[in-house]
Amino acid sequence: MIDPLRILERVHGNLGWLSALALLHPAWLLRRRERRARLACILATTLVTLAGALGAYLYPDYRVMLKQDIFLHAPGIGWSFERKEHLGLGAIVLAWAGLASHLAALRTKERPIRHLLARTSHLAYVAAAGLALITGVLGILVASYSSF
Amino acid sequence: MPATAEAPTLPLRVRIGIAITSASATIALVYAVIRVVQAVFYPEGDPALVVWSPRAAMFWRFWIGVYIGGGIGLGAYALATRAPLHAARWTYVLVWASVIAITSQGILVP
Repeated sequence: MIDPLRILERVHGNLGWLSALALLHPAWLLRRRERRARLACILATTLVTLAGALGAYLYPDYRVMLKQDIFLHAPGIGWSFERKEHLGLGAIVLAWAGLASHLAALRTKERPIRHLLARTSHLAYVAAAGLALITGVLGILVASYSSF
Repeated sequence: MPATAEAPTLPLRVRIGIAITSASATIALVYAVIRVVQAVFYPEGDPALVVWSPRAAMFWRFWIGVYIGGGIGLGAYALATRAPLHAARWTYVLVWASVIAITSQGILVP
């Protein structure tokens, strides 16, 4: 019988990659300040949040079942996992910052404020996409070494 | 609080948007700072030797970030009411600081 944790881990990994690719969409669209990309922002932020929530659910089991063994035999892989968790969290909160600033930018008619919020949103999504991609690569590295 | 002469009062949803943006950016910033402080002043045991520990530091760093981010978000909301342009500028700077902090910490201080 397949371990449910193993299934969830696969779902987490695939969701993570999907969200990394989804985050590239607003990161690209919002390079133009006047661009409206509400749906792309909402979907990408939702996806990365779901992937992160699943990762947080799996994390306690990782600590109990895998962490020490990975650090004993391949400390480099263990530290890659640590990097992955930090950068993944960064991707999630920056996606939220991007979504909030984009929605705020759409709601204001004050031109300088709208432009500043649009730049903020673009910056946040570019960073979130970059961090999510690095997280995905590190995730594959760790998962190819050890799994539930 | 009345709006200053700098700009008219922003709609409520825009102020909330600025508050959430600032709060979110603060979470990453605080998370990175706490991790660096932990690594420098309170180094953990070798993960290869630790069988199990009751608390996951990652969750604690996140929730402390949420707590402080909530306060910063309230401050950003107040600033957006008084001086909207300043609030938008500071939010942009805060997001930059957050991006630099979480990226460099994540790579250099895992």
